[in-house]
Amino acid sequence: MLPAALLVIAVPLLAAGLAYALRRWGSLELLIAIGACGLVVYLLARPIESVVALPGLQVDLDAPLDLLGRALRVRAADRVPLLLLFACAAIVFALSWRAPQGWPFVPVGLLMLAAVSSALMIRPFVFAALALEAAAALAALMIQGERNGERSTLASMRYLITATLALPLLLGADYVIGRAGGVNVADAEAVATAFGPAVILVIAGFALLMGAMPLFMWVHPVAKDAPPMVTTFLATVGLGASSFLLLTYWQEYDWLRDSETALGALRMGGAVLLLFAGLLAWAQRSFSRVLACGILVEIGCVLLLMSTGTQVSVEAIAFSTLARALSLGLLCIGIWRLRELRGSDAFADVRNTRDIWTAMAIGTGGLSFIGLPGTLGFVSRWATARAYSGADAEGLVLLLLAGASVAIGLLRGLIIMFSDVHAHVAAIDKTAEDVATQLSLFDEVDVDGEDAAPLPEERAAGDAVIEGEAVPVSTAGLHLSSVRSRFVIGVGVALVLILGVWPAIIAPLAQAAAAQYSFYR
Amino acid sequence: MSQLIELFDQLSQAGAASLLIALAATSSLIAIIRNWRITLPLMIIQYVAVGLLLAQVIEPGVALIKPLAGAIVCFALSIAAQRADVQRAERGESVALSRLQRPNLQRTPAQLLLRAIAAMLVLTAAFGAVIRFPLPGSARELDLGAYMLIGYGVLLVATAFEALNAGLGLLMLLSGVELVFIPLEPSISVSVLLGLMTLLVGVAISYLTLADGGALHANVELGIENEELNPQQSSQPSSPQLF
Repeated sequence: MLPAALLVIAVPLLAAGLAYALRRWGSLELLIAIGACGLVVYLLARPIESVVALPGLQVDLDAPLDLLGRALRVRAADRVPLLLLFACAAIVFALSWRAPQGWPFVPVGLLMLAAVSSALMIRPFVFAALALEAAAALAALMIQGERNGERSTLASMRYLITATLALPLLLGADYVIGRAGGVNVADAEAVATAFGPAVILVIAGFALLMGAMPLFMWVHPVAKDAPPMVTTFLATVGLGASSFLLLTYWQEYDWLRDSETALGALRMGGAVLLLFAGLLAWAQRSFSRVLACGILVEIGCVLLLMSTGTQVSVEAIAFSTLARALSLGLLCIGIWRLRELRGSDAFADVRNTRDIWTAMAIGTGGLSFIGLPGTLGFVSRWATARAYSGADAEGLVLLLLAGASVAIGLLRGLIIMFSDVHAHVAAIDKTAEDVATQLSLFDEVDVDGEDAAPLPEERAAGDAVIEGEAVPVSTAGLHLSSVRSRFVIGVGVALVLILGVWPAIIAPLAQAAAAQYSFYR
Repeated sequence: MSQLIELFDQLSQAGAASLLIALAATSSLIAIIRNWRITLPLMIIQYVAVGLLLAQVIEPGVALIKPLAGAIVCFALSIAAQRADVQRAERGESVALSRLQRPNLQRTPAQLLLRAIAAMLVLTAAFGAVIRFPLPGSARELDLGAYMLIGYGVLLVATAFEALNAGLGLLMLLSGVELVFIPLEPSISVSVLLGLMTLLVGVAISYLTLADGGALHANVELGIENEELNPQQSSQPSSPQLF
């Protein structure tokens, strides 16, 4: 009888090998990845004490897997978080259909999924830290994708460096925890003294892993340079794994959740992230920078929820992980289309794009991401508001304002996408003509001659003018206009709206995730 | 294999002082010089020194994992760096070669001097840290080695902008962490997994080195084939970037 832990790790590993071998056939590669994630989700959805019969083998969900003398096991508390991570990965893979994100995306993404699953299942935590480092090394390949050239490795290196700096902190925490194991738990002062360094090391380690500290260390470069769906993958699977692992620490160690230092650091970290992201988001000049601010708001939100330690807050974390995969995935598909169309997602370069499907993806995904009522993201934000309102009303206001700031940034971009360049150029022409006419009262100015501002001569009807050059706006001939690409966006938009109206479809998953933790009782 | 382990065991008895001198010398040179043809062999020497230091506190057979993993990583990195260099040479972007041909005597020594001073500061800080903040559970020699490697690693990560050099800093940082942690948790599984981490991080850095040199998708062939394709450009020696 096979232990389920083996399948949770082996299925993505095998699928990664297959996906790499079949990477020339993008649809088949994605189908394999989605199938592998679906199989693991099916296994984990069964009751923990059950034995699942698959063709040719029996799988015992509760049986441990012995690896290098350590037991890997799908514990009750890890079952739903693992299921959520695999479901998120499946959603992200599905949304990237007809949107190639570089060859490493699918195979290396599956390897990373196996690494983060091991991190959640293995004990003691020292091995989890090592598994997360392995996941970060794999993530660096995904972030780099197929980009070449000097300075192109900034985002990958930042991510790898941050995760590597977190490794000694988590290893150190494990040592301190082991050494202080014999302390009298009834003596609060002795506990605080013995576990004090561990609290600092754990919080600092997770802050680095989640991208909360230092500010903009990897979030900004990754959002700007990495293929957009890779950013989604890291912000859902990567951030989700770190969040659930921190929840496991929270569950395991009384001294951590009772520590005022830890709670204060989480509250402060969350508030600082929301403040910075809120201050910066509305004024950004590209979709990827707004996206980075949005991700920081999400991280801040998770930190604030962690600090409350209630059942509702755990539900909110679980729900937001799943909601983020769909909302952020849709937003990133829109950003990917813009990059394909214009080679950039900077507002200055996307003027007059007028691609309705891109706008729909960015609009629906982005506004759901920040929690617009009527979308899936709103349910997630509502749950957060419910969880956090009792703890700190100011923090809640900060959260809402930060979300609004990200929304303003996105709306500015959307408006620019539909602003008419020709009308803009004509207005400039008219102003220049007026100024020239007025000047001509004093001096002779040749309005239509050499003094007039040059305009691109080869500009054809339907072309946009970007930094003085005529750029064709038409998307005809690009695979972006294919039916399948539009189908993916249509389904994504429909899901965001339907699940926004009927969140009860996925809410039981979040409730099941929260039910496994007992620290708030 | 057993003879190799035996040899490793005998070498580890050599005394910590010589190993620490080797660590200090290799780390300083790697932090100062930015030429992979020099730094990668130095890294291998450093991995051997780290392995020998570890062999003083854990089984020599387990400690041997470190130099083996390190050598594999350095081999992979050298291939990546070579391909990146060939690609740069094909594009005529040999910055280092132009430096050698037209050395800017006002600029180059300043960079070198700055790195040398920073390296000296790190070494001094490592000595100070060993006395003021002794690490738990390990001998003082291992503490000094760990502080040196972590300090030089952070220095490289903070000052180098190329993936290869910053990556070497990360690998040094990992070696330092191993020197601290393995004596605290002397289990085979931890040693094996830390060796695996070195390999994985090495693979990632090799990939990023290729990307840095613009050689990810280029049809780059090493050596002779390249010369046949473009004899004029590749007849120049590929650029030794000394500083």
